[in-house]
Amino acid sequence: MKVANVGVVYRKELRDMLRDRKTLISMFLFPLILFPLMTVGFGTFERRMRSRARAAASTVMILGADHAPELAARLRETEGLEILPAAEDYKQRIADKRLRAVIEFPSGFGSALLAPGAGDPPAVQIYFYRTETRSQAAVTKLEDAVNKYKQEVIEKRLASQGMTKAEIQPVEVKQENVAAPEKVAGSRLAIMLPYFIVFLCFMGAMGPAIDLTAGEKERGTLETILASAVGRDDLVMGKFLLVLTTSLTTAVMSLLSFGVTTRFSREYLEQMTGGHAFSVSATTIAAAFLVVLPMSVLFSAALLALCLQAKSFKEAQNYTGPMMLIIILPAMAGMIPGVELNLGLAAVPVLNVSLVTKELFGGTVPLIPIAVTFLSTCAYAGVALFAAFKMFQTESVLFRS
Amino acid sequence: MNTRQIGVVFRKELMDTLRDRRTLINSIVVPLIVTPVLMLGFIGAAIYIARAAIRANPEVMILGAEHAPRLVESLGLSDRIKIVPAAEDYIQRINEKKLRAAVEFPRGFEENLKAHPDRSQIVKIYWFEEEFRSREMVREVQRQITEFSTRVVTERLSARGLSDQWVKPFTTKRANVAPPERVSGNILGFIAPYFLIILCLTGAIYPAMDLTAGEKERGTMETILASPVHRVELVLGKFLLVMLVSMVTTAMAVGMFALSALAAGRMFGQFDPELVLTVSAKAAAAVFFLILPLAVFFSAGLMAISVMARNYREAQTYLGPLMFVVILPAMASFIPGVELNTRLALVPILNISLVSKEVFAGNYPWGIIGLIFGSTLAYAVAALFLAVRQFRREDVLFRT
Repeated sequence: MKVANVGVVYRKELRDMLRDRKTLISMFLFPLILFPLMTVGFGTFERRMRSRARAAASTVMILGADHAPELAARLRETEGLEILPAAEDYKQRIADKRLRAVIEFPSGFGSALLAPGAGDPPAVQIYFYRTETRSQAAVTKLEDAVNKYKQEVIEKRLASQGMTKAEIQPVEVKQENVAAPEKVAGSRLAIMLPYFIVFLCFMGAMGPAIDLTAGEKERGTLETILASAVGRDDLVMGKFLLVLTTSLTTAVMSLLSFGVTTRFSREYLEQMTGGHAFSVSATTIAAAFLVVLPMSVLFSAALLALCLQAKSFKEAQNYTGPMMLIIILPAMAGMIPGVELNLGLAAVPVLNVSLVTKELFGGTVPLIPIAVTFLSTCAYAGVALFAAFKMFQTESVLFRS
Repeated sequence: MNTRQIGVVFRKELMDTLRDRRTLINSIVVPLIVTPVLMLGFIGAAIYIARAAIRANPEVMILGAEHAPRLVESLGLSDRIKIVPAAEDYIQRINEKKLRAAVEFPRGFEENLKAHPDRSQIVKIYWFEEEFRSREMVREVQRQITEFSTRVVTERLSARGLSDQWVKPFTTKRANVAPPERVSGNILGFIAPYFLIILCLTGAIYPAMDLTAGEKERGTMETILASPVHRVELVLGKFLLVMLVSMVTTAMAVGMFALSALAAGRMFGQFDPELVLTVSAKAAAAVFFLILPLAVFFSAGLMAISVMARNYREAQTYLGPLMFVVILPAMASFIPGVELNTRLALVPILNISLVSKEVFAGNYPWGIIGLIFGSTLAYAVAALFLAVRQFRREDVLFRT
């Protein structure tokens, strides 16, 4: 392989690409717009929807209100609850989401309040729609009000026996957050980010990879290039470097854009994350870039090897479509809460990069898993690159008919 | 406009597509295999990982363990907690996620419980706010402390000759009254709309590019335009094919979703007996019916855009960003608690995402479904109108 020749091929492809203004726009401008849109636009929408869901009054129904007049009156005054008149069809109405929850008081509820009666304590039933967010919210409101009332009843009972409140509350638990505020904010904001970085990195490599292989074939220029004095290896290397350049540019632009977005919308983000300031340090961006780099190499080489199989643009696209889905899944798996980077997962391609970037933006820098991720991705990238070289040597692949 | 001419264009493009074995594979076999694998794999992995997450590295540090021997002993018995020796650097270790939480008992905790029953003892738990695994650990520790606390209260009450019924005036129980298929439909409706919308779009992307920018690149656009077929007929014929491919892709996906949901329900039912994942034929039909105008909208919109491109590469440059524009509103179904209203029903894509969520959960708000169908249809007609206009403009067709 001759470096000078690789340089010639690379410069030729680069000039070709730079002449195409539109490719440039999508490479630079798109990530720049996407991240503000994602964090601020989508974030605002989500927050508005959530707070609206929280603020909306929950429609509930009280059954057997006359068994517990005091508590029923209390519930009617509770903010955020809209009490509907009791009706028979409450189960259907809950299932249809026209009613959020129903609370049912048994007969004899009021009579056993001041001292325990014979048998089990009366049971209050709450009917709701499991897995439905707004129904769950209504249940929480009901339970909060009921528990507050219960506490008062217990205090009254104990007072009648000469006991104090503290005696039945021997232990009080206090929670204290000790994580740095930017870590709390980071782990909230960085959930979707890794997914988009992986995706953009792939998309950035896809266009040129198709154009430089199947595109050449379709234009009928592949034979001309092969007949030139440049060696096969130099040719592959030059083409590979160009694909890598676009993929990396897209990835770098997205990382920078995310960094800049968080810097300029600090106040807004603070609001989003419940008062926790958040900023991305240059080190974080650099570390993220370090693991994205071998992944870019992997994508570029794999796409080159794959697209060379195709005779035409259309065929190449048929190959890259399914491959994109295969990439998306591990990238999305990084979004599942509770999935954490460990040595085993650090060896799974794509998923490892997704998890490492999540950790990095969450403020932790686990050095050994990062090293494993880097090295394993390098190894996969090496294999993919070798495959690409091999493909360009195979006449049956180059001149399929 | 002549229907027969449209038919000729459509049949020609259809034959072209059917001859291309690989496109067929992409639009039929991929959704057929990918959807179930995706669905089963993803749900399975999510359940498995979430369960493993609760158990993995359950490290909790106890500070001042000597002040609370009884409570520490019962904490040590829990198989969900692994107690690590006390150390100074617990805050840093929590920050590094090496330690999930730290519990601090005050000096003389258990002695004071006996000596001063009229004073509450304060236990502090240090944690990583909002971190999934840290929250799980805090929950477990709190559960153990509550149990301990209940034991203390029972002892105190019995010392006075009172039963523990005195602190239990009544109990509250939750009962789910929604039918099981709606309970699980809600979970399915969380993720399914997103994939359906994306498949509907990707199904239309390939033919839309091939029939516009592809013609230009192959140099066959001029030939077709010179034929006696009218421009409008040409656009409509091409459009019908793009829409057909998009519809077939989506229909396969809806069908496979229903089937794989059944399989997933069987496989994962053991984790949660209430989880019976099923998609009724009615829901599948309703979702398909709603996707119909969306497929028109995507097909016409994509054609209007990609006809501006001179070649494949340029078309791809335009359509890549477009994909993200579609992805974001499609993700609306992921946000919990968002409910449809008349205004949201007018936002394209987002409305389909939200309404299919409702339909999967067994809810059929007919008024809103009609509104969404109507509004999407209006957008679709506007897109189609735009596509026809683009094909009439010489400067778009013959850009240099």
